[in-house]
Parts: sequence; C-alpha cells; structure tokens
Amino acid sequence: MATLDELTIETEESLKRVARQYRRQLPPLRDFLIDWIRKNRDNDRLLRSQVSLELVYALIDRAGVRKYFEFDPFLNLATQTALEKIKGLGVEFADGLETPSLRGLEAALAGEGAAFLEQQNAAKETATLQVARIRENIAAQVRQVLLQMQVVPTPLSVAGEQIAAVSNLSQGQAETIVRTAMSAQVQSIQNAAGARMEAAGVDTIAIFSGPDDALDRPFCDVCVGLAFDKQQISQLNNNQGLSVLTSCGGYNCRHEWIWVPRSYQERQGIRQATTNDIKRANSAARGRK
Amino acid sequence: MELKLPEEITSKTALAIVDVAGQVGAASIKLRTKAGVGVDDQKMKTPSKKPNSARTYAKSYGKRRDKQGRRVDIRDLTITGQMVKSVLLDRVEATPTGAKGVITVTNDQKEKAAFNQALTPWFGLSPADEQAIAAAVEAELQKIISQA
Repeated sequence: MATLDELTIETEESLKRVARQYRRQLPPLRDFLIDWIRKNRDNDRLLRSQVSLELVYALIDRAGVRKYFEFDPFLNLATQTALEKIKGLGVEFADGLETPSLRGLEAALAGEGAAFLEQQNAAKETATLQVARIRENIAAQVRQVLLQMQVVPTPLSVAGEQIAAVSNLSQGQAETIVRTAMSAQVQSIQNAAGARMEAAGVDTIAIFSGPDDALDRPFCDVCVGLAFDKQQISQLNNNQGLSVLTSCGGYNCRHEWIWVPRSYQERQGIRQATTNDIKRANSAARGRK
Repeated sequence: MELKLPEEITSKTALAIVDVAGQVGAASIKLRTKAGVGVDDQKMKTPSKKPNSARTYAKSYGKRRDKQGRRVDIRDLTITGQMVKSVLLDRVEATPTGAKGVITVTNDQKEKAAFNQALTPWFGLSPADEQAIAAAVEAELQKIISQA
C-alpha cells in the first residue's frame, strides 16, 4: 500500500503538470475576454445576433480541435504510466484491464486504491474546470469576431489571427472555424427564407449550388447542381458531424443550399436528386465509391 | 425591376409574392455568377491585358488556379465561395404603391463584392434574371388564382 500511495502522489503530480501545461497556454487576452463577456452579457446586441454561442461551441468541438479541450487523453496517459509501474510491482490484472482508462485502473485497484482514485478524480475535476474555462474564452472570442465581421468588413486572415492569438489554435484551424460559422449563419438565413416561402404556400426545393471543380469533396461532387427537397436533405450525411442543412459538405464547404420555388427549378432544367444520388453522396462521404 | 401585381390580391399576398421574386432574384444572381455569366448575360471576362486562353483570368493567375484544381474555363469569382453565398434577400417591405424587396451582400463581403463588381459586373439583375423572376411570379400568381 505504501508503494501505491507513492504512485498516487506521482500520478497526482503528473495531473498537476497537465494542468500547468494548460495554464501556460492561457493567452494574455484571457482577462480581457472575461471582462468583455461580463460587460456584454446583458447587451441587447448579443441577444439580437444570429451568432449563437452554441453554434461556436459546436464548431470548436467538431473542428478537429476537440482534443485540445479534452482532459481524458492526458489523464489516460498518466494512468497508463501508473499502470505500467503498478504492473512492474507485481500487481496482477485481469485480462483486458491493461487498457489505459480510468475504468481499467479503477477495476485493478478495487478495494485497495480508493484514495488513489479520489485524488485522481479531484485532480481531474480541477483540470476539467480549467479546460472548460479555456473553451469558454475561445468560444466567446470566436463569437466576438463573428459579430465584428457583421459590422466591419474584416479580412478573414485578420479574424483568424485574432482567434489564433487567444486560443493557441493554428491560423488555419481558426480560419476554418470562422469561415464555417459565417457560412452556417448565411445558410441559416437562407433556410429561414425557404421556410417562409413554404409557409406562404409555395412549393419549394433547394439547389445544392457552388463550384464544380477538382477541389470538391466527393460528397459535394455528387450533390452539386442537383435539387433536393427537405426530406431528401434530411437523408444526406456529410460524415463530418455537421448538419448538411447548415454546413452542406462540412468544414470550409464552398457550396450552399439555394431555396427556390419548384417552378423555378423546373424552368431552369435543374434535375431533382434521386434516391440513388443520395446513396452515392452518402457513400462518397464515407470514402466509398 | 418592377412587377405589376393584380389589384385584387391582398397586401399580405403581395408581400409573399415579392418575397418569392426576391428569392428567385438572389438565386438567379448566384447561379448565373457561379456559371461564369455576368450581369449582361455574357460570359465574364478578365480585364487583364494578359489573359489566359479562355480570357477568364490573367494568364499567371489562371495558371495558379489551374494548379490548385480550380476552374479556369469560366470566371466564377469563387475561391472560398463566401462572396456569392453572401448574396441574400435582405428585406421585403410594403410601400405606398405595393411592396419591394432588397437583395444585398452581407457586410463582411461588401468590400470584396464591390471590388469584383468594378472589375467584372456580376451583381444585379440581368435580363435573364428578370425573365426568371417574372416567370416564377407568374407561376405563383396562377396558383393563387386557381386556388381562389
């Protein structure tokens, strides 16, 4: 047990190191951002804005930077190290418990390592809180840039720099978040217009419009130039975890849904997608031909 | 563009019709631009004195686009797609004589849109756009009349 206590201390130390690493990543603008959130919390402008914090959160989480906010991989790493050492001490594990997970460790230490787990959980909670604060700051900053872009023409590179500065995200990742959020915002307005026409009794359909070139994703390549009704859109899956209705082919997608009366689609000779087209698009998104 | 609507329709219906006209107008501008056609219904051409063979972009820029996998046979004004995406029906409002719809470009893209407009006019209703709007309005009006 004494040895396990030592390991507890060691693991806790490694968790603290992780927390310190996050703290170092906290940008100098953090305090400014917190002030900004505090000052603007009751501001009508924010309520009126179509840029929702949820949208930004969802984008950050899904933009491939989620791991940045997740504490578990670090915890798992620490746990794995501890497990190796415990193993080295001759503690036997049941089959399959070597998986570097908290659950595995919990099972391995059942009945004799409760204190270890308690301390580890406490450290995990502290670190998770810190990580959550970073995430809030970044989301607030992204949202601020989006609001700013609605009023003042801001080059994307400048917006990207602003976000990258506070979040330690790479410029490319930051630009992706901004661009995708802006697109989703404009698309939401277009979707609302389509819904408005439909409510007025107009038979509407959406055209998947945009460039048709070598840069298209396979999913977009199948969909571009075709018209889809609402039900068909709901059957599409871009395999990127983003709504096809608001983000089309996914991150940085250059395509959009244009809602028009069905009479316009027919007059322009735009073909409506078939079940086969939808299947092909979904397969293409999954990387199958 | 002015549209004459039958006097017997209600102001609510008139607004809905102008909404349809506006949506079709915005859609036409987008689809036309993405097809490389300008506001004069002609293929958009580069103002560069050293154009590529399709006369769509400057030779050097055309080469770069081609290398990137972008289209050079048409001038579709697309890199990220944001500018054309940002064309929206901004508002529909009643006026003393009827209703009007305003198509615009969102603020963040206005500078880029104006720059491109100066180089190759793309924003606005072309004769073909106007025809498309008139046809869509006609179709919706006929539907309303037949339902009544």
